[in-house]
Amino acid sequence: MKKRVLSLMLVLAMVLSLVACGGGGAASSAAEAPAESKEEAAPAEEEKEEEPAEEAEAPAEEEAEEPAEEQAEEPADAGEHENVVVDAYIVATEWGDAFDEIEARFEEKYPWIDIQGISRGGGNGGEQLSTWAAANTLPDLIPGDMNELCKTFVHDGRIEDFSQFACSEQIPQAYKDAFMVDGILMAETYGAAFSCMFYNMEILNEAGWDKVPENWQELIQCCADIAEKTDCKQPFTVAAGKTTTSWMLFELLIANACGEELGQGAYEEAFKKGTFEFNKYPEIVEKFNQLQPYILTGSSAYTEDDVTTAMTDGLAAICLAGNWNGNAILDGIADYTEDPALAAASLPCFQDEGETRWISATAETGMCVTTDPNRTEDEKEAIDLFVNFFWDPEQYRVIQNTAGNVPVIPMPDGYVVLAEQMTPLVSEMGSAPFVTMGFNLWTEEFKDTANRDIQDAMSGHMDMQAAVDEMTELVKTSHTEE
Amino acid sequence: MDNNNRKKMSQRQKNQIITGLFFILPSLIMTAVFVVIPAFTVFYYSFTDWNGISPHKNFVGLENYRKLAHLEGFGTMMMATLVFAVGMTILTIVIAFIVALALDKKGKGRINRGFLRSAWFFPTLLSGVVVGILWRTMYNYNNGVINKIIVACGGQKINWLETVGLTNFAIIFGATWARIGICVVIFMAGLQAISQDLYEAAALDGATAGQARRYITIPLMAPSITINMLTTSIAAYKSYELPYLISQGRPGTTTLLLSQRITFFAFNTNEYGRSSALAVVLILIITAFSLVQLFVMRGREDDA
Amino acid sequence: MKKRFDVKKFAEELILLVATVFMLAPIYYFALGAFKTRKSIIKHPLIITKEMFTLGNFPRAIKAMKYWKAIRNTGSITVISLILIIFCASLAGFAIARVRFRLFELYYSLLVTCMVVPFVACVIPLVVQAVNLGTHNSLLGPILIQVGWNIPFATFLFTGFMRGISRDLEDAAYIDGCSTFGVYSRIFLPLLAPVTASCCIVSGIGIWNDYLVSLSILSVTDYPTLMVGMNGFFSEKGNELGYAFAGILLASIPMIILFLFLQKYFIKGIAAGSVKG
Repeated sequence: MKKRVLSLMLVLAMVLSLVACGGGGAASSAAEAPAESKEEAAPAEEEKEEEPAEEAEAPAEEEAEEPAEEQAEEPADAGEHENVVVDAYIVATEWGDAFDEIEARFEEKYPWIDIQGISRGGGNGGEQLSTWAAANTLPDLIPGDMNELCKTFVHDGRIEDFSQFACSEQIPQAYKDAFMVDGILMAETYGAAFSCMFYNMEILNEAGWDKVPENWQELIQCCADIAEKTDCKQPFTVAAGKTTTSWMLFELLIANACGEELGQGAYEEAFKKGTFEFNKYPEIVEKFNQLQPYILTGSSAYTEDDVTTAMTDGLAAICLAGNWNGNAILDGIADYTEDPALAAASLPCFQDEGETRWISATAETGMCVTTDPNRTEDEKEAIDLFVNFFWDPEQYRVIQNTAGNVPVIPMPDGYVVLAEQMTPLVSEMGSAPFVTMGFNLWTEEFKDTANRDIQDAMSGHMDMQAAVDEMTELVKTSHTEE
Repeated sequence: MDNNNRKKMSQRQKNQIITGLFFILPSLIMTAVFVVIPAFTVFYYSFTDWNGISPHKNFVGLENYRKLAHLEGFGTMMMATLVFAVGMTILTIVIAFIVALALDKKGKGRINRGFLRSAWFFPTLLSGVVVGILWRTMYNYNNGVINKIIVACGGQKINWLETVGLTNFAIIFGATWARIGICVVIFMAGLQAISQDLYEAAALDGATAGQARRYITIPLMAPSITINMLTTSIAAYKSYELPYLISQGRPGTTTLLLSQRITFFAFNTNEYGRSSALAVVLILIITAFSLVQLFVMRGREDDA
Repeated sequence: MKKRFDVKKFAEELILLVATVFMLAPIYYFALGAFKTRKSIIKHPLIITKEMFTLGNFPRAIKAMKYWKAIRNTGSITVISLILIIFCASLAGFAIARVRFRLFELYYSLLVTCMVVPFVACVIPLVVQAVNLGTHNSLLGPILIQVGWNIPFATFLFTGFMRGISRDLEDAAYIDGCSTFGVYSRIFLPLLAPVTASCCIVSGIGIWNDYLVSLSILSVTDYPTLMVGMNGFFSEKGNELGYAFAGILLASIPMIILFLFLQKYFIKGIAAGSVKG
């Protein structure tokens, strides 16, 4: 009995001490950090891309406790400000490190502002945003997409008009139009996303191809050759486990089937109004069925990581992916081939021989500012400063280079760093006719059903024709505009 | 003399009851405020078309329930939910029972019982999110650990996440893995409670180990079995992130569960009214299921 | 005769061992992964070599999850909730198990019925309620909700346990003139250690690993918690597996320690509490 009590007390003591010195832990780690952070903060202005600014983040945490004591070398304004915290629920996992760097630079310049970057995590943040909205505690900055949730937020008056910020004037009208809801500019996008194809040239060479396929017929022939002449029996893969990329395959088929006929923008209009007839274009199903045997088994459940791995391991030779994954995939292929020159990229070649190449491109997820009736003047100023700071080319390129997307603001020469193979694509991408990516167009219900169908068709469980029929019916009842 | 005693008891009883009322007060308040009231609120919302965000709510009567019946894939979803709950419960209980029997041999056996117990209980310490992602990574067709082991043993890669039916098993297996620790422990407790005398008496009567098991162990374990069945099936019906992270409801909607639809409507399409209606349906199903189980098992317990 | 016995036992032990290995394999996989980079986890999941070994995931995970703050918050929530749960449930259990009154039986049934309500459907009403009560964005919010939702199962355990305690002790105390509360505090409370331990573990794990409550009620910046912090590693565009696994390990360590300590009492507690249920 005594022993039991003793052990229980020990455990309690442990727990309590953990709880008590939780604060102590933060203090001690912060104590070591300032010494290094002063050094890091100064050269932060110069290019420091390799070192993710881990130490530089510590002053951010410290600032939360004692912001008043930090002496900035060059305070941006001499005015009196109360210390302000800006919640930025915008950090994407893949550029988390880059964000830390921007945060550090900003806080150095404006020591009275503390940016709390929260990682966006998995999914589209539906749970988080909904519950925060229900409690009226939405963070100051949230990710903005053309999905139902954000549109509901706008209808409900929870999103500020982004055009009030100076940085919104820099981006081209097309990207602004993409995010107009209810007459206001809902968000500013982080960049342009477009679909790409990546190739493992070593395998292609082995199959007798020394250049990338340039149209659909060549693509199919290439796959057939690879299947026949190499060990890679199913050379094509795509991350169909994710709705954006599974739809990507489909929308390219649509674009090249009806784009020429209908003209730019018609498909999107019809989709949003629910009048688009998917099964009016038998070409879609035909082409899909031609490709299906060459799609790597398991692709319908693949995440983008899985695709990267498949390319790195040489399991697949060709993949369809977003440009945002380009860096990782090209690196992976280069790993396999041990020669970067054998990793190639191109715009998707889903058009018939002799026809114009249609691609899919869209403005990426952007940054929204939420409304808050209790926001103080200082807080408003802080947000304004940060937003404009973020889209300053000097800072913007930090994120852009990590994310690998195409910038939407004018950038000085040498600022944009894309993978070598991707840079030539940008100008081509700029001039090619395109369709907007699905996530701007569909309702949640449509997205759910349609993507399941595509995944099933890919894995052979469902006939593509049946899938297309279902989509045609579904869009009539489930669309975003009247 | 007797009358006096009876009066005294009555007084004591009254005291007990009053004190008892005070005793249940804290739990009553906590549960009423934080469980019952929200539950009734959900019930109320199932009759509105609230979107969870704006202050506008309109009463729409049974509209949400009617829409449910026409919901696409409703039948598949019910099937999937039932298969998952029943499958997971049965699998968990059967394996847990056997393991508990094996681990109970009071320290006889080569491997340390304490270590084994901890090993089997460990997965329960992990959260559902973690387990889901872990298993999803392991089930991956080309890179997953499971297929890699199978191939190393000379077999064929199995398409865990794309095959209809097999995926159901995949999520059942993942959920069982996480849940089995608790069941094992409860069974072990039940085993410990069986008096050794019974076994000795049976041995004296000449019963074999197998017979002893059949006629002593299993009947006397009836209460533990009931508890495990109830808690595991309730947990199975309510669990949503674990299976979702493994299979996302694919292929088709064959592994999409009721609980996941509830979250879908609540957070993704902002149709909170529909989500609440589904929640009410789920509650009814769980209640019905549990009542059936209780009925069946009470009978068995009484026999024992 | 003896030989047959040995072979059978050996086979049993072997099967048990193999089954245990299967149980532990996923854990091995991610425990190992905490020490590898994301690339090596995907490429070589089962082995680790000197080149692959890295401790770099841990500092990164600690920083990103705000580990020390988070463990302080999650720990406080768990400890305080458990204390309140045990308090409420033991009292209620005593009343239900010991006082012969129909109402209490009814209360017991209703309480246990509360277990069927799915939490996820009630999230939004609970959030609104928390705002109205003023407990939103304070540690009190999750604590109260956790207490409320864990009381049914805890009461179930305590009631079962108390039903199993012999009445003689109690009757003797009453005859000696003890009040009801006296009986509770002097006779039952000391005996409660086993079932308290089991309640701590089962409910404690649930609260510690909870994600949804902390997410909805607490602001991520003001009150970071463990599970919410870990969620940041998993995203649609790529899971930072190395950091995530390191984070999982770090987040699980307190639970593991707690379990190892309370292990013995745990099983006895469940024994006494559940079988009589």
